[in-house]
Amino acid sequence: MTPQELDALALSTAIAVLTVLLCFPPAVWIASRVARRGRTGRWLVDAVLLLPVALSPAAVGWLVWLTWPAPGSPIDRTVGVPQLAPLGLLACTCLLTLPLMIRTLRPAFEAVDHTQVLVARTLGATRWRAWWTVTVAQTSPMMASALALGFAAAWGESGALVVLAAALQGQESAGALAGVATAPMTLISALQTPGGAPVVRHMALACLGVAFVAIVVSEWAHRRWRRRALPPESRGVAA
Amino acid sequence: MKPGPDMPAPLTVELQLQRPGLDIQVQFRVPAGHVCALVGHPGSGKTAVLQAAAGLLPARGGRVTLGAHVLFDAPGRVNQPPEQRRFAWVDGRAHLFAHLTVRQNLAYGLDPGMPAAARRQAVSDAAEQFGLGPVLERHPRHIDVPLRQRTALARALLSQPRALILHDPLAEVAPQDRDTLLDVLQHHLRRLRLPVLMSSPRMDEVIRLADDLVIVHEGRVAGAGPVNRMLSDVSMATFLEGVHAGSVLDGVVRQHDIQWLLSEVDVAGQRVAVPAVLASEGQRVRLKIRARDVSIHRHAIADSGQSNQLRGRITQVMLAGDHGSFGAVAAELERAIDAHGHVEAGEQIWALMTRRSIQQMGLAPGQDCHISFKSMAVSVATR
Repeated sequence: MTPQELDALALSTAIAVLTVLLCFPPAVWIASRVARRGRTGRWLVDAVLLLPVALSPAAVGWLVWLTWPAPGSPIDRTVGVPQLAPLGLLACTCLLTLPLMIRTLRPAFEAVDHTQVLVARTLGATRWRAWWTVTVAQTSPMMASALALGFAAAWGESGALVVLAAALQGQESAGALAGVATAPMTLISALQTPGGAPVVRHMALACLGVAFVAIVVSEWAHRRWRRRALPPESRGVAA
Repeated sequence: MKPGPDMPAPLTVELQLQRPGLDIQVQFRVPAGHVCALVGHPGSGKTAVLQAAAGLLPARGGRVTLGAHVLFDAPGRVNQPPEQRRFAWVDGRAHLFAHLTVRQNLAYGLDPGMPAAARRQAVSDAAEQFGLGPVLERHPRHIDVPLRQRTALARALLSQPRALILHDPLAEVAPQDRDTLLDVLQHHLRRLRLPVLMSSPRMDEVIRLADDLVIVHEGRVAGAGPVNRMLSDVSMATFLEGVHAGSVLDGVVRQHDIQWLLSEVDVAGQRVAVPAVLASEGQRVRLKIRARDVSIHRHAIADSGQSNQLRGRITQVMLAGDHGSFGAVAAELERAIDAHGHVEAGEQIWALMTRRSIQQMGLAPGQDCHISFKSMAVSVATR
C-alpha cells in the first residue's frame, strides 16, 4: 500500500473513532429517554431520528456546508472559522451516525424491566447505582453493538463527504481537499484517475473488512444481549 | 442510624393516591412482626397502595411512618426515596438480575460497607436457610420458578429491610409447588421482627400467612382487623373474591385419633374433630367453616355422635327483612379458662340458616346456644 492509501485509512479511522466517542454519550442518553413510554412528543423525536435513514447523505453534507460559519460571522469574530476539512467531516458523520446508534440502543432500553430497577432501589441501591447495575448491565451488549455499527458507518461515510469535497473544490486549494481524503473518498477519486485500479481494490477491500468486522461484532453482541436481557419465552420474537 | 431487623417498629400507612379511574384513600397500621394482608377485588387499589408505601409510586398525600421514622409526609414535604425507606419488594416475578448469578443476586442488597468475609458468610448462611446451596453459581434463567422465588426472598431479607412487601409472591409458582414455598415463607415470616405487607388473590395463602387483614374496596378500607375475625364476618364476604361467607377459627392440635384418622383441635377451650391433619400436637392451625354448613340450636342435640358441637352465645341475628329465605346468625364461642388460668379469646362463628328455622327456634342475641357442624365441613390450614 502506498503512503497515500495508508493516510486515507488513518483519516477514516480517526474520524470514525472521534465520531463514536462524540456520539455515544448523547446516543445513550437520548435512547434511554425515548425508550420510556408515554412521553409527549415522542413521535416527533422518532421522526427526527428516522429522518437520516431516508434522507440522502448528500443533503446532510449540503446542510453542513450551508450552516458552516462563514468568514465575518459572529463565530468567526470570537473563535475563528473552524476548518471545514476535518471538522465539517466530523459534523457530517456525527449527524448520520447518531440516529443509527440511537436506533440500535433503543430496543435495549425498552426491554429493560423497569420494575427490576425499582426492586434494586428497594434493596438499597441509589438511582445511580441502580442505573449502572441494572440498566447499563442489561443494555451493555447492545452498547457494544451500537459502537461497532456506529464505527463502521462513520468509517465508510461517503455521501455527505462527496458534497463537502465538491464544495471545497470550488472554493479552496487542493491542500484543503487532502483533508477529506478518507478511504471511500480515495476510492472514488482513484476511479477517476488512470491506473488507479490497485488503489480502488485496496480501498474497497478495506471498506468490506471494516463493515464485516463491525457486523460480526454487532451480531455477537446482539445475541449476548438477547440471552442476558430478554426472558426465555420472548426470545426470537422481540427485535 | 442504620436500618436493621434489630429495631422492630410498627408501620403506619396513610395514603391518598390518584390512579386512572380510581381515587384511593387508605389508612392502616401493621405492628412489627405482624403480617398484614391487603385483600379485595382486582383493581381495588391494593398494588398501588403497596407501591406507594415503598416509595415506588408518587402519592398525592398522606403519611408513612415506621416507629419514629417519618418516611413520607406530604404536608411536611418528606418523601424518602425507596433506597432509604428500605421496604424490600418481592413479587411473583422474582425480578432477579439475569446477568448475575444466584450468589451475586443474594449479595446485591448487602451493606456495601460490610467486610468481604462477613458478606460471604451472610450469603452462604442465607443460601443454606433457603436451600439455595446447590444453585449458588447458576444464573437465574437456569433455575426453576420456586427456586427463583426463594432467591428473591433471601435477597430481600439479606438487604436488611425495615419492612417487607410480598406482592402475590407465588403468582408464577405451579399449584403443586405452592405448599412447600408457603412453608418456607411461613417459617421465615414467623422469625422476622418486621412489619410485613402482603397481597394475594388466593385466600388460602392469606389465611396461612397473615395475622391481620385490610379489606380494600374501590380505593377505601372496607374493614380491618385480625384475620380470623375479619374472615368470620359474613358482611365482609361481599368484598372478597372466592370467599364463601364463613368463619375462620384459630386452634391448637390436641391429639390425633389413629383409628378413625381424625384430629382433635382445641378452639377456645372446646374440642373440634376434623379429618386428620399433618400437624404435630400443639401446633397452631386455622379452621375454615362455611356459614351454610353451620347450624345453631338452643339445646344440645342428643344424638350428636358424628357431629361437632360447641357451646356459645348468640351475638347477632341478621334477617334480610321479613321476606328473605335465609338469615345469618353469629355466635361467640363460650370463653373457656384453660389449665393455666388464662381466659381464651372469644371466637366468632357464623351460621346461615333459613328464616323459618331462625324464627321457629326464636333465636335472639344473648341466648346460650349450641353450634354444630360436620367434621367434613371443616378445612384446616397449618400455621
